[in-house]
Amino acid sequence: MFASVASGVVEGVEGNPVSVEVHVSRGLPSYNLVGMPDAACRESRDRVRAAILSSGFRWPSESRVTINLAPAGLRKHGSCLDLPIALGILAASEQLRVGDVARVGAVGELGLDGSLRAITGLVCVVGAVSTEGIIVPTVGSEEAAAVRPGAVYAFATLADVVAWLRGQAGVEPVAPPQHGLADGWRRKGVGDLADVRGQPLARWALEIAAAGGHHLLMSGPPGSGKTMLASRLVGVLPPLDAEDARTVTRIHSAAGISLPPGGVVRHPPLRSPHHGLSLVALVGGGTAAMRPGEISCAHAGVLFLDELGEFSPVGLDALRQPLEEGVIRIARASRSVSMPARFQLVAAMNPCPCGEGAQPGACRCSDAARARYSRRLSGPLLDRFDLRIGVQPPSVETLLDATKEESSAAVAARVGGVRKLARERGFRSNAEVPSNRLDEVAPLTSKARSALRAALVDDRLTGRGLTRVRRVARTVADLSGEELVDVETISAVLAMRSFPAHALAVSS
Amino acid sequence: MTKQTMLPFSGSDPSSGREAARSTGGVRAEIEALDTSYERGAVGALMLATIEQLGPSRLRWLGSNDESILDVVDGVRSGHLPLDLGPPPVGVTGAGVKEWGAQLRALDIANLVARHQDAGVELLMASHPLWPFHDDPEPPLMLMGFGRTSALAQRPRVAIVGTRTCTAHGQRVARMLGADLTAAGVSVISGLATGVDAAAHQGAFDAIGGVAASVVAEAGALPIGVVASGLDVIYPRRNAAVWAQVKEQGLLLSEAPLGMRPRRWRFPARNRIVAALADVVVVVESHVKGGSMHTVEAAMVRGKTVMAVPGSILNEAAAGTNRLLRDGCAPVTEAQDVLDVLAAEGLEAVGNQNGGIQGVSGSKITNVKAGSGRGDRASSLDPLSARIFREAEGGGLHIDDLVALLGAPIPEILVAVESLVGEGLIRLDGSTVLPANRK
Repeated sequence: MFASVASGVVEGVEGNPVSVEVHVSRGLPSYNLVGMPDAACRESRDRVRAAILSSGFRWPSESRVTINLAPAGLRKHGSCLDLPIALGILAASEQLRVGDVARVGAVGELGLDGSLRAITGLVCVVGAVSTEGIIVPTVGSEEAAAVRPGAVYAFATLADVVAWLRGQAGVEPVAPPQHGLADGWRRKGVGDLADVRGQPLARWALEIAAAGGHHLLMSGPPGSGKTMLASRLVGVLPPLDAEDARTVTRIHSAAGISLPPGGVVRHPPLRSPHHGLSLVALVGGGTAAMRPGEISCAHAGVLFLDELGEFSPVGLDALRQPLEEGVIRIARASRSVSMPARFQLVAAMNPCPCGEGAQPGACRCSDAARARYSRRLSGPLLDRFDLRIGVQPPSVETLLDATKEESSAAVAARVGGVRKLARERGFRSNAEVPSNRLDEVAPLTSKARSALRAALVDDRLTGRGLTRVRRVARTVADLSGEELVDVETISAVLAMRSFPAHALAVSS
Repeated sequence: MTKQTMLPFSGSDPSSGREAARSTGGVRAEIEALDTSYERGAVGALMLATIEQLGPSRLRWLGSNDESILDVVDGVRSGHLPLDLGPPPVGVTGAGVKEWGAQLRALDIANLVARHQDAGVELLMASHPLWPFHDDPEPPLMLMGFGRTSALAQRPRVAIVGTRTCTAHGQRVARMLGADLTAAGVSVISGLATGVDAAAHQGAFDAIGGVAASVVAEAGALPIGVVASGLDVIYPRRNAAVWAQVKEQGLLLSEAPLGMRPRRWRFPARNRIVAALADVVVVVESHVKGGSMHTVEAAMVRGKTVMAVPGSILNEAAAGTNRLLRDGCAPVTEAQDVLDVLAAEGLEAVGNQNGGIQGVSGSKITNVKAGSGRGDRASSLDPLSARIFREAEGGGLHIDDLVALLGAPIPEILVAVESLVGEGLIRLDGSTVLPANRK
């Protein structure tokens, strides 16, 4: 007998439909799995056999079992095909009706006891399966239901699935998670800006960065609150729109990041990878699944690189293309995958290896150590930060001052206002205004223009820097409710692009 | 005492070792065979100085100003030190002396002498007419000199010292003092390290560049550099230009023969020579514990006047100098303060009398000071910018502190800062306003 079950596998952040074809016939007992399965996929044989037997069904032990995973040219990986293989075998061995399994798609990993287990990338796979109903494991079914409302059926065991297919039990499709923002949209676990004492410059830069989606670099000695500030940025960003929420959910599902309750990522993600991570972990790729990297996981959110100077120069240079295009393209010998990677880059670094360089005369590093440290950050990378500020630890008086600092909610309201203005102009944020539309979107006063010219002539500004300054100036003008970008705005923005080098000047 | 008895002195007769050495010809014959203009005693001292483990006090113990040093060389080589050397310094052991002997035996004397002679190195010992260390408690056995030895005839001499990790402010002060003192006919001494040392000599070059070399020589303002490594081992490398220029326009001195690496202990030893040469030591910027403090101690031991440049109490690089001031050192706010102290000590600067300083300061020194043009621009600033400019000049301040200090909103302060940066009056580094670099 022959049976076919629709299913799918993940590649990058996309699902690819796979049709599981099972043929059971008389002949020497054998089991053949073809269609480019990887190791985890090939091992499904033992899991499927045990699951069928322990669920009380019959294994066609005196038959020749051939399984083909079509299309045969696509590499299949992972354990998500366990369930469709099991259903196919049951149908081909006449324990289920072939017509019943043909109507539904199925994904899921099987335990030896017949239980259904969660898989990574469920959201992506479900989107790729086009049958009218899809059988998924209970864990993660909510996120799947968000992609295919009314088509997702969740089960805990193989026996339950079979009972439903035989019509012995009625099951309702999983209800999609409620959209809209429930009580207080701000994410739990993110600190409030009210906790940040003093540091007016950093607060202002953070607000501008949030309002316009601009990249921010903070340099300062250890303990100056760089990490604290960066982690509060996502707290003032507006929630994701529906499209971004779907994309981010898909990416996080494919990356195996646990999704929030409700199954959909609604808040801009914050990813802060350690500087020891590998290039593949940063940009993605690697396994046959082409797992998304940290930059994709930070899509529509914030990628925070603490200790920027400690990241490998190769990794940092790999950030340049996604910073420009919002997409990372990974090419391997057999195929290439492109994954969304439109993130806001926030980085923190010490001014020098000992970290004390910002205080006049406090640095204890040797010349060579300082030179090595500054060489690690290429000029083109530094140039891609819209805002470069130095932070210093707040003074003792500021720390003990009892006056209340402004809360994240107040800042978020202003940020939301600026984002709304950007959307009315047709952009997601001011950071995405293309340079050829800057004259129209961010018109300069004549004084502002001559200030920019002076900065360009003095080599304090590059061509790329010019575009970035004008975008940031748009955001600053929006925050103060002005239509034109005047010279004061330009000056303030230029003053927030100081180089992160330490205050020492020992060269003669 | 046990250590002394363990040393390989030759027999009981004090003169037997010398007799033995002389009878075999020893190092005297080898030097005799060389074609050299160096004194035989100087070659002996040079040989001893090539031994890595010999610091100033050991060399003083072994060495002497006459040819008897050659007996010591023979003694070290053969492992039988002459008995009349006296008690050895702490730490000298028999095994150590044997190791020195091994190094001396491996030494190619002809090559050593030829290298120094070809490079034009002068070997200065106590017999030299300009030897400045006759009254010194720890005189060097010998100094290698590169450049104009006549610089040692000049008085007064002022050492300008300070930390290698100085602020831009300290660098500027060092350069200003170096220029003004040189112009006033004072010979500027420094250690050729990065930071204050290099800036002080840079200042000296600024001043010399402004007057004819003959006038400088007459006025007695040749810069003197004292280094810790061999004169051909430039350390740190980035100071190569300053080394070359000191050698060209003044005198470069070292206790180490050519090719000697800059060992850690050589730096404090160098600092004592800087202090010994100077009539007045000026500390521009120093941490509380820093190499400059060695120089200060060495100067105090020798009864030299130590002066310090006041710095911001928030500047860690000025913590040492401020402590010196608290402890009673005279402050330096301009070169004239140093000249006054010199005059009080009876060391009138030559350039002062023949009016050389006016001639120089008219052309070059004004550039070195805050810059009159910049001063004019700074005086026409609005009150907020003027405040920020003053804070930057005073050693630097973070924008957060400016906000707290001036009470103005951030955008307004950033606008003022940016216009000051644009005019080149200040510099912005890590959101800290700092004094501008001089072009």
